[in-house]
Amino acid sequence: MSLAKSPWIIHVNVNSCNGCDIEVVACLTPLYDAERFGVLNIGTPKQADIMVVTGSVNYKSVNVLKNIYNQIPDPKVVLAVGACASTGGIFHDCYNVIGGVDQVIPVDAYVPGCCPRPEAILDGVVAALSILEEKKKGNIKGKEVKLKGNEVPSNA
Amino acid sequence: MTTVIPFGPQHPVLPEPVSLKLEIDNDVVVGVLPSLGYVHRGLEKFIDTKDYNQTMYICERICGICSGIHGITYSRAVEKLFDVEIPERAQYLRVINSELCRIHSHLLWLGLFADGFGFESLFYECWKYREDVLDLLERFTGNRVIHSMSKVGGASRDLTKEQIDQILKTLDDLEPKVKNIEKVFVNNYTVKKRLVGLGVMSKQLAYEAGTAGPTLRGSGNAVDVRNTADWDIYRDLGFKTATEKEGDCYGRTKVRIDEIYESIKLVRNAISKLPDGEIATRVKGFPTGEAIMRAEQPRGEVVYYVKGNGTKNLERLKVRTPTFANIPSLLLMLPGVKLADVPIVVLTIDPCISCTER
Amino acid sequence: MPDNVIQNITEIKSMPEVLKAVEGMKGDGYRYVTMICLKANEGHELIYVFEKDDKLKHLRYFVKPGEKPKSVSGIYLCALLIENEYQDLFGLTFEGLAIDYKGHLYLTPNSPKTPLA
Repeated sequence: MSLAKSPWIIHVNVNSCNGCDIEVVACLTPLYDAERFGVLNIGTPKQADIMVVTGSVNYKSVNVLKNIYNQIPDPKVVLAVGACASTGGIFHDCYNVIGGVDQVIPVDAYVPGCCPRPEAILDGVVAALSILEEKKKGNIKGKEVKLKGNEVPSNA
Repeated sequence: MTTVIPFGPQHPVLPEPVSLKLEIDNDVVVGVLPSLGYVHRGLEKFIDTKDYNQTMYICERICGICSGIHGITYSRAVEKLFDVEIPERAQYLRVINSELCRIHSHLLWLGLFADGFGFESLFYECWKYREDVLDLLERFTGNRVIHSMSKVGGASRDLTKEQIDQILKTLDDLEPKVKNIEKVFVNNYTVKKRLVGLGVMSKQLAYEAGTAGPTLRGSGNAVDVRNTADWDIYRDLGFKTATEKEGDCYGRTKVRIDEIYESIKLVRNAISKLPDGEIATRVKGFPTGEAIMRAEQPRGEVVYYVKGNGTKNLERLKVRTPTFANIPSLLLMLPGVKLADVPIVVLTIDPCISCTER
Repeated sequence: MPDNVIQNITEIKSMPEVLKAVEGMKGDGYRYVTMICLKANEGHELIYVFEKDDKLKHLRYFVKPGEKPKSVSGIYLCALLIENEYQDLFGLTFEGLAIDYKGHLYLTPNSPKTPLA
């Protein structure tokens, strides 16, 4: 059975301006139709193969990102969509921004652009498919990312 | 005995991270505590390092859905500081850009909303029609999402004759398509079953809760900043403020569908009256003084406050976005709602969290 | 260059008078739009913005250094978000907030403190 024939993706917005998010969703709608590659958007990380991350990481969303990454079963591929997710982009020197997604979790493929066009995102997903297949063959496991204490305060 | 159930930050219905702590008693919400900060970047600090022209591009990236109107409103606020009159053609181009943004944003929301109550084919339908509008925006501004059409002093791109024909033709095609989806949203039994009588806010309550945009108009308050907002063009073009009396999720949905038609009319009127001439004036010097500028975004009223101090950087930039005003209304709407209906009520304020937190 | 100032603004000298004025606004049927916070002479300047019939009305109040302004969220519930935001960004403390996030609406313990102050 080939995993790359039907990868399920989970879309995670960590600190994005919404621009990349709507383009990721646009990929799944009839005009671009990612389902022709067997791609299905799924709400739960436990059933996902590809993690599509949009936006730079900030101090509050960092633990959400790590949590979701740890819950995805191996083999898993992380796709950073947009300039912010890749490097921090236009927001890289904002006070509340840590930086690109690769500061926190290992990233396998990057899609540049602000915002990337849906065609570019589809290209990224297709590039992720071969990485996914390789990881399955080589039995490569994702790195366990440690949560540093309870960084999210309780707003009681 | 109440249980606390966290809703978000990662939730299948929400494309954006927002967290609500729901106090549940027997499947009914009795208390809500919103928790924000997952998208806070700190854009208001950016004015220290970017000059007033560059800040326009930062403002556009407050939110990727209403980016055009953010840029336009910021430009207008700074123009108010300089007290410059921009060419009339630029003003009309801004109206066309704003209204196309509104059409695409409302179609986007209708789609996500349909997805929220499990009507997958309606979701696909709305997003298919939205692509037509995005194509227009791409022809007009060069980009699908971040338009950068406006700049301090006017517009940075002009419309050609072919583009105008394209816009008119696409809008003619779009109108019957919107009528099609309107039929489903307004008449479909399952849709009505989910929406009617849910998340009701009375006229008085919506006004006092300081809500904005379709959330306010869905409760019968005819407040639309386009009517005033010291921008005369909208008054010349003429449009009807869409309101509904119900104040429930159904009413707010109908307001947004009516607004699509009004926006289509506005674009047509603006194109028919589009004057010839320059599209930008040169703005010289550095801004001083303070100014407040308001505009109507798809989600409601946005308020820009800018203060200049005679240098190239602004001294203070403050943006009050529509969702920021609408989130407190969730504290009033959600108690008494069943847990399964929470996503629908949350979606009807059209939450844009990246706007809210900046 | 013209000296731009906000039109229709009333300056108020003391905090109890602010609360009284805001209550009066609610009685007159005004909608709470927002509050703007600026740094001014060591302290802070607060501009309350209200709207009625598409006209804006403003109240200005200067917060002295170290002073704790009172929250108006008891009068207008929607004021709670913006007041919590300024607790985060400017390090102000508002007394009597309907929901007090204690400076953690946006920021976490390890993110920069009071970035705009």
